Amino acid sequence: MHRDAQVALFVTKKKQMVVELLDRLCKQIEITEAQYQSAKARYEAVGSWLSESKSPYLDRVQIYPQGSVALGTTIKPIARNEFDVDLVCHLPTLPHTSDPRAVKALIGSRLKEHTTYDGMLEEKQRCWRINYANLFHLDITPSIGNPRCHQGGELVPDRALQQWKPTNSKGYIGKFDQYAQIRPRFYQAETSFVVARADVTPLPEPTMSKPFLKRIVQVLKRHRDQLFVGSLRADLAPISVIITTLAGWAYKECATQQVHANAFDFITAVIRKMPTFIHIEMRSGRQHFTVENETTSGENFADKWNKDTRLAMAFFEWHKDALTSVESLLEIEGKDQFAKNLANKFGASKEHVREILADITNPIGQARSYGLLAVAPVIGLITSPAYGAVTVRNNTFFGR
Amino acid sequence: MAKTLSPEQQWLRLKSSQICHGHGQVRRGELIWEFDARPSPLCRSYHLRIRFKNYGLPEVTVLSPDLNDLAPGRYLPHVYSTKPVRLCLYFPSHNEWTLDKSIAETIVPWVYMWLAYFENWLATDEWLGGGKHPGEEDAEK
Repeated sequence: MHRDAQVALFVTKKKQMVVELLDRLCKQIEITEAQYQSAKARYEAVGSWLSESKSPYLDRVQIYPQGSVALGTTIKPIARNEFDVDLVCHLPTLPHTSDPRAVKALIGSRLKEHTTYDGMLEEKQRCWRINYANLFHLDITPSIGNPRCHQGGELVPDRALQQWKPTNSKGYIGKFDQYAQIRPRFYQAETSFVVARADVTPLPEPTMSKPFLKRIVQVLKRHRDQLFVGSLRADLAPISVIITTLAGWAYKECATQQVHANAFDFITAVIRKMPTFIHIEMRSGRQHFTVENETTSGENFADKWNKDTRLAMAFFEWHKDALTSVESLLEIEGKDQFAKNLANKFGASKEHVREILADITNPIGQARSYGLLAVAPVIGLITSPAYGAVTVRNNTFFGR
Repeated sequence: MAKTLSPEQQWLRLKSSQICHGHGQVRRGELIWEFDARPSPLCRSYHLRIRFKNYGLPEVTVLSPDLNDLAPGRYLPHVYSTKPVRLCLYFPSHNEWTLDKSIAETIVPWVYMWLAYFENWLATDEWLGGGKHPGEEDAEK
């Protein structure tokens, strides 16, 4: 094989394996299906309890997930065991003239009537939290209809419980899912030269076990947590909705406007593009930042940046580090060095690392026991035979 | 009984193999072959040397990087010696390697596998490659 072709094949294969590493990391740190089902059963029970109330205000109450659980972008917190399960408690019969404080109290008093919930209940600024120790907590935020939103949005209390502010959790989820379903386009050229050559194993289509967009958001949020959690600047960490929104827009643009050589290049292009979607204008001599919720009007996710510019600076600093952390994975050599990097930059625990590497190493043992293991030029061990590859014969590693 | 392969015949097979690019020669009946092996694109590239004398057993040494430096304070798994690092790739009395077998098609692929398991061990302290330790000769693979 020509030297250039060898280098190209090696780099392509390495990029693919790095993407698989990130995919495996996400699998380790996301909520499992069993955990999700258990949380769902619990919030549905909360919903039933609320709707069984005799209070006319709780008539036709609905409870549904918002945030990462609904988006499919969950990550385990680094410092504690419980997942956040963010829920909306929608009260469709209440007028927008209702007092936010009273609406929140209404839900709280109904929850307190339940002997079990009463003991697990914690009041937060805008929501009620039901704690399931070591599992998850349900954060229940009240919402009412927003007659001025044409996209079916809602109103939720502001942090001071003084006013209602627009949001649209269902609309946001729908939009994000719509972006996530766009399939990025990859050059055929790079894969075809591989397939055309018989002495090389063809590479499968680049893929992750979940839509790329969701995995990108999980990787970025995990990197954010690793950078900020437990640090002196923990309160400056970019909020998930900003990361998710910018990733969604960048993803849409990269997937529809460009063709990429491979999944790794696509993922880094998306991350690189994110800040360009922050709207910045000068207002009375100062930068004013907007990351708009496109599914309603009047919600700026970056609102706080305009009161505290440290937040904006922290975002840009985090973004730079996140991009470098992902890009530089390509320069790493050695599974142990990958392990170290996943731990330092993406908060992988020892157990995560063990699982991720076992996932890569175990197929070698399986292929070996079936006599399928082979060594291919340039890319090394492969788990199915290919033309030009040398089959690994039976052996027993000896020695101490 | 299959015909045994001389050091010269082994040399020819190593030279034409696509998975152990390197250089070497046979001098006074002894084959020396140096080559690079990278078990997977995520792994390092290792520089190794194979020595083989007629009717002897092939000896595989990792020349660089020094595996001891990669694992400071730890005893390397499945090696005959640590200075130099000589790999234990097969169980001598199992006929896994015999004089009629091509080093390029047995020993070399085992080197790749050994290195892949080694890097996993480096990261997790677990050797997933199985094998035997001296004294447990009857144990299962």
